[in-house]
Amino acid sequence: MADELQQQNNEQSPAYDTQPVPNLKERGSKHLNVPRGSQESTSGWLDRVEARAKELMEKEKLPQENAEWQAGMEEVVRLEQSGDARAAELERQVYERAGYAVEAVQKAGEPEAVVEQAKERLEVPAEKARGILGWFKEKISGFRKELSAQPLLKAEARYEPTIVPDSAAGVSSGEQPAQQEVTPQPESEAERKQREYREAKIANQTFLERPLSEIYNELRNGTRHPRSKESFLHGVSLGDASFESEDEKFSTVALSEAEADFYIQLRNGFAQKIPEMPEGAILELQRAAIQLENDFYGEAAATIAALLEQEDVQAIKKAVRALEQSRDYLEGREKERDLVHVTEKLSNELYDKIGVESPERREAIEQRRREEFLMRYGETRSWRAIKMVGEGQKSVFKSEEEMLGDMKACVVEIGPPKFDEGGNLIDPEGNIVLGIKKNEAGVIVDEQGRVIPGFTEGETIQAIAKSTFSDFQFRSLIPPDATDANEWLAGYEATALESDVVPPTILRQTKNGRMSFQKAVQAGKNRLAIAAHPATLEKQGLRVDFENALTQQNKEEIALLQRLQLASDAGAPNIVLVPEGEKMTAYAIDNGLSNPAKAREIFMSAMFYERSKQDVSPETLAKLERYQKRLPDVANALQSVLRYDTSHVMAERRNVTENLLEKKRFEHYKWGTRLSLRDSVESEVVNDKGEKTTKKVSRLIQAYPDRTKPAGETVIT
Amino acid sequence: MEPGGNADKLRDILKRAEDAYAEFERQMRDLDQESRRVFEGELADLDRKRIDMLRKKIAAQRYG
Repeated sequence: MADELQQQNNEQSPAYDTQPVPNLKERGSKHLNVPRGSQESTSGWLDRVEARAKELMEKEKLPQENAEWQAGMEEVVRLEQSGDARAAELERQVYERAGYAVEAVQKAGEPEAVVEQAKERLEVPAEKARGILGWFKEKISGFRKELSAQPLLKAEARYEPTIVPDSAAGVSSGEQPAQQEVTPQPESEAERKQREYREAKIANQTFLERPLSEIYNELRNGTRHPRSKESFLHGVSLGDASFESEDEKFSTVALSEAEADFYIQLRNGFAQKIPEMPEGAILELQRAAIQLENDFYGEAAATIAALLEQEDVQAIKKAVRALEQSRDYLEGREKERDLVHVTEKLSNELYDKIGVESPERREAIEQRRREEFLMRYGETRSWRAIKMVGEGQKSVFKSEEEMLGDMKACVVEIGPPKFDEGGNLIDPEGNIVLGIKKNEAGVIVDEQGRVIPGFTEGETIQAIAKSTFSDFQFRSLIPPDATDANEWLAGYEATALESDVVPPTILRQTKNGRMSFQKAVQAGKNRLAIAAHPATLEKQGLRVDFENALTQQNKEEIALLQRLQLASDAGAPNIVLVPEGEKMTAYAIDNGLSNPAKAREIFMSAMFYERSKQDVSPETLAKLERYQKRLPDVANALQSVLRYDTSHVMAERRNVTENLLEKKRFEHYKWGTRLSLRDSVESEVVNDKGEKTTKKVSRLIQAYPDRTKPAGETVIT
Repeated sequence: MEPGGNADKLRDILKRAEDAYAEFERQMRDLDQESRRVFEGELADLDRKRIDMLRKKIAAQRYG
């Protein structure tokens, strides 16, 4: 297993999200901009030293020899910084791995002594790394002394870093920073040059080398984006990847392209091409999040700055400790939010509960628990992949452009479509299905007049699912792990319902970080995609004849789950079933799970038509009753995993459950329903005693409003 | 960089610094590998134990 995983690491498929455990080499070369000793020849180094020396000679008029020595010193200092960052990063990774593994061992119920032994084994590389760093820094210290000992350099006292970046790895080189003498005499030409040079050096220093008071101020006045926390935590150099906005320069070193775009949008206003953007709510959410982060980093930086200002050894030691503690705290906080851990905990709690309440399902639950475990920590496939392949994916996506939402359409077998007089596709209640029309020639087209592939009126086409979501920029608002979260929630609810269908999608912890099925599809040739081949799955003993095995009961449960999830996954059924001869074939629709804020009106569901006004079977009702009892667990899961207010989402589930239990039949699917995002306003209400008072009300925000109804107001209960 | 004298000394220092970094880098890489091996080993052990336990459980339910 280890060999294969290593091979997997080496392949570095783009499908693997390396974020949680960054690739050190890549990280170093990209962000640190320092020479890599093992990768580069001596001549390359010397060339750079020579080039730098020439620069110093031209700009600072230094004698050649002096310039060369100074450039050499700079190289050595850069090496040291690189070593610090390298060791700190490795140490972080070791502890991260140790954290995961120790937690897994603990959860497996191993005795404390076994857990301790595992921890010791796992942490050994970090101890060794500290030792090697100490050795390396000693070496570097020797080289610096040799360089400083040269008469030319000493005479000019040209270069000495003002702050040695020891704090990055928490290891001291044993050298004291050079003290700058303060003199009241006027500045000489040489001194001025020296000062300017030092200032230029400071401007290019790594985050941890810079005076914290400056960083604090930058955070406070907003010129530093809080996402630079990467630099705060890992001592990454800033300034080598930046862009100019209208009035000031922002470091984007820690931002992805999409994030940078979004940040520009935040500053410059949203692009006009995004129609009917929800006013205020999203921006406010984003601002609130940024403010929270600002406050934390600002506070940490202020504390450390205050300690540093005392200018004595004890204070500096305290400062380093405070920084370490801040880092630990932050990493701890990040881990608390780590979906892999959060969802594992929630899943296990639910499984335990079902084991007690439904003893007959224990074996199935154990099997599911085991599969989840393997998917999280082991070398195995994702449920998502199994589901797609197993159910016979027949997405009609044509291209990346279409994948991004330019046009998403899916054929489903539900009966002849109806069009109104204007040629608009309408649902059984007469609502217009946006974006799909019949043109004058009787051909079904999308809103740009393009023929929707495979769609012709008459017997061939029975139904259409269509996405009108088409603004990629909007996706920038969605946290990157939202897809994982929503997919896992779908599985959680299926389990809470004790459904026999729609197996849970599990968050995986691969050796290279998390990976979703979507990414696997994009890569097309990675291990996960291969592993999901039906033949491979069969060998692994997994169910591959899903589509053939579906019973009426299964289909009913699918319809019910789609209905329950209406509020959180934009209401889009990701699998719809189409009869082909005697066989049911499942068609997959990209329902945009990653974007809970998007429009509801993106689809029609074969299931809801099929099930409309049909009685719910007694078996499903029994399951629904159990689900109703588990609604508090579902609410807890939603709240723990989703990053927005989930109260209205839960209300949707309660309503669906209660209505179904009461009426015992499926309703017509209604659309143009509520959106996930709301904002909160003070509103005057009359209380129980008949007095007028103010109360916070949740106001609906409609990104793509229902054309037939105005946005309403609902009192938060 | 002119040969001889101080230039040679500088070259020599830089060469040694480069060698030291190369050695440092190599050791860091080894440690990273070591850390991964230990991590994967721990999880694999756990997995095996868990599967064994499940096998026993299922066997007990079926035949016990």
